[in-house]
This record gives sequence, structure tokens and C-alpha cells, in this order.
Amino acid sequence: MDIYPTLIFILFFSAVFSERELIGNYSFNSILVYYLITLSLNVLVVSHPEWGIAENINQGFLSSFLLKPMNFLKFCIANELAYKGNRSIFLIPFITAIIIFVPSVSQHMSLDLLQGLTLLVMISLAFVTYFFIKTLIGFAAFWFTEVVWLLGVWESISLLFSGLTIPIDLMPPFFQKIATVLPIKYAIFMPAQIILGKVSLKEQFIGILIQMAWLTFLIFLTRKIWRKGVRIYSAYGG
Amino acid sequence: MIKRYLSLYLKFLKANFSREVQFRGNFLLLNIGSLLWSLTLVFYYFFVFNHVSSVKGWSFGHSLVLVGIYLMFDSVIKALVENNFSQFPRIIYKGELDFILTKPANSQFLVSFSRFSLRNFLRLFAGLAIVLWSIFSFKIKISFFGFLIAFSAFILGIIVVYSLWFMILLLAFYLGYIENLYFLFYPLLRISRIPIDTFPKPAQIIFSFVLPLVFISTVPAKAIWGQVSWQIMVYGFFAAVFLLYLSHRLWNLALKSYSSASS
Repeated sequence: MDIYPTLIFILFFSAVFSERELIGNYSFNSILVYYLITLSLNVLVVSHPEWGIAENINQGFLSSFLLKPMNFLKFCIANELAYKGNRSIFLIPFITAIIIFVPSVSQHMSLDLLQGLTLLVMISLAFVTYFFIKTLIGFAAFWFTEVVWLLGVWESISLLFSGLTIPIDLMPPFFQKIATVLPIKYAIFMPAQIILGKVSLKEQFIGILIQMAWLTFLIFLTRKIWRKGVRIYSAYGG
Repeated sequence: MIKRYLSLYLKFLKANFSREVQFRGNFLLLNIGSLLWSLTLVFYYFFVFNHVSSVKGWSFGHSLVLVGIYLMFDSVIKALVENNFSQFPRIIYKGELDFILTKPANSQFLVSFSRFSLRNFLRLFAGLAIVLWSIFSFKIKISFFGFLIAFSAFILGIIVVYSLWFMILLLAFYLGYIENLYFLFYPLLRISRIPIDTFPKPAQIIFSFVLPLVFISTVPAKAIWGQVSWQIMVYGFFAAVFLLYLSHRLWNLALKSYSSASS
């Protein structure tokens, strides 16, 4: 878990809040809670299949998958799920400790059963959405040998519009509008806001609809690119 | 002697440059990716300063100068040592150090500088552009002398970071193979993305005197608008010389426990 950037943002915010008490709707305490939640969500939601996929394509290992009677993508998603299970072993005690030892966290949280349910749906959709986006980045290895650059481009967009850099409601309206149509706002920022009890049910519903629309598009695109990619796959090194 | 090492380094540069631009498309795309990534930092400050006009004496313009210098620093230090330091644990573990020790040149020099990386080259110019743009559009008062001090502080920063990083890597001699040893120190550099004098007091003292990372971006930035005392520069000079000397002594010490295994 890459916590350094967040730690640095928190450090700077502690200086910012020494100048004034409220920024937007946030106090220093609530922004601290916000960052803790987004960090945990980041671990839970974001998967990294792109490295494995790109390596399989580059090194020619993909051939052995193509010959076996199984679906490569299903293999990847199972892999990621298992990895998430592993990560949760560390994440769950971490979150529990924070809720117990940092009293302001539970003060800011508000969740009822219905909210918990939409949260669960949203996080699951977010996991799959991220998986397909990262898979597409991995597939770029069919055409470009290295994909690190594409990952860099994606990370920049995702850092800004997922709310990991700064809460989206603190951004100028123009940026907020961009974030609204992208899927990543609903992967991290909105679930965090739901936990903090700041989103109406209607907004949550719209969020889930946008997520589903993106997901349909991504699944369609992934299948198309996969078919094209396998056709030009040259299996060198394999 | 300095002339000999300079000409040696020039030869490394030539060889490495041909290697780096071998895959031209990839080289360009990598740089574009790295460039975009560096812009996220600019956006962060833009968003924050939408809500406040200054933070502990740092305005938006001042902070952008700091970001620009940080990006330049990151680009330069990575170009110099990235490809060397990331190989470091492997070289020792695999016994490849033998080939370096038997060459007729300083082994620390060869281990540290024989591979030059251009993966983040554009970031250097992006950083410079951000510095110049913020100075002009926020009308920050500057002087030629200030630039000179800033440049010296920047060089001191490079020496300090190189020495600290190198010393951490020496652990590879004792701990065996740890592939991620390279990442033990690097993330610490990121604290220079924000002005160190906005930190809580104890942290300020640590990063000014114990691990003088303040020379990466905070001191060079403040030097540009003439807010740096001569005392800190003198301290920086002695700290850099001391750390470099210490890194060399520790290198020689660590070499004694090199077993040349598996070579």
C-alpha cells in the first residue's frame, strides 16, 4: 500500500488548517478521516492485473494459456480476488484498530443497513471496473512492448479524479463535472462519502447506474480488444 | 584525476544514451507518461490554494516554484542513480561486483554512476518550465545571486541524497538479497513535494539537520527569492561533505564482508 503520497497531503493539510478552521465542509479531523477511508478503499478496490498480463504477452507465456481449456480473463480475475483476500488479512485489523483508537473516525461515520448495502454494491462494481481498466492497459502489450507509460497516464487521471489526491468536492466546478462522468469517482470518492453519510440515496442510485454503464462498455471493449490482440499475438520468447 | 573520471563518465553517457534511445517510441512515451504524472502535483496545489491564499508564508506561486524544483531534482537524481541503485542488491548477491572491483577505477564511482537513465528526462524541462512560469506570472522577486545560491543548494541536495541513499543500500552486504532495498529510501524524498517549513517543529529539525532533505527543494526555492540564511548553506556544505565521506568509508567497510559468492 502506497501511503506516502497520502501522508504528505495530510501533512500539508495540517499546515493549511492552521490558517483557518474550515475548508469547504471539512475540518482537519474530517479530512483526516476522509483520507484514512479513501486509503483503505484504494487497497480494497484497485487491482493490478496489468503487470501479469503484459508479462505473459511479452514473454510469450500467454501461449500456454491459449492452449489450455480455460479462460485467461477468468484466470486473471480469480488471481486478483485471491490477492485481495490476502490483503484483507492486513487491512481488516488496520481498519478495526483505527475505528477503536481514533475516536473521531467513528464520530464522522454514519451507516445504516440500506447505505451499507449500496456501499457493498458500489465497491463490488468498482473492483470489477478497475479490473477491466487495468486489463485493457495490460492488453496494450499486444501492440506496444512496454506498458509502463500507459499506466503512468492512467495513474495521473485516476489519482486526481478518484479523490485520492484531494476530496472532489474541494475541486473547482469544472473538475467536479469531469469527475462526475468518469467511473473512478464512484470507486473511491463516493463510497467514502457514503461512509461519512454525505450522499443522498438518489445520488447513490445515479452513481450505481453510471458505474453499470461504464462496466458494460468496458466488458464490451475488453472482449473486442482481446480478440484483436490474440490475432496479432506473435508468441515470441514462448 | 578529476579529468580522468570526467572523461570516463562522458563515455558512460554516450553508451547509455544509445541504449536508452534504442527503442525510440518507448522512450518518448515513457517520458510523456512521467510528465503527465508530475502534473498531478501542480493540480493538488491549485485545488488547495483555491481555498486559502497562503500557508505558513507560502503562496501558490511560491509552492509552484518548489514543485518545479522538486521535479527537476527527481529527474536529475533518477537519471544519475536509478539504473545503478536498482541493480545494487543483485550485483552483490550474484557476485557480479567482482567485475567492478577488478577494474582500475574507484569502485564506488563505478557502482554508482555507470548506468545513466533517461526515463524521466522530460520532467527536468517540465520542472524548469514550471519554475520560470511561476516566477514570471506571480511576479516573484528574484536576483542573479539568489539563483546562484539556489543552484549550489540544489547540488548540495544531490550530494546529500546520493550519500544517504547509497549508505542505505550498503545493507545489501549484510542482509542478503532484498530486491526492494532500492525502495527503502526513495519514498522519503517525496516529503520534498511540500515545503519542509510547513511541517511540525520536530520534523523540521530532523529534515534540516539530521537527514538534511531540506536541500532538495525547500532551500533552493527559498534561495530564489532570497530567504535563505548563510548559516544553513554553510551547514549544508559541511553536511554534504561529511555524508559523502561517510558513505565512502562505509563502502570500504562493507566491501570487507563481501564474500564474492556464486561468482
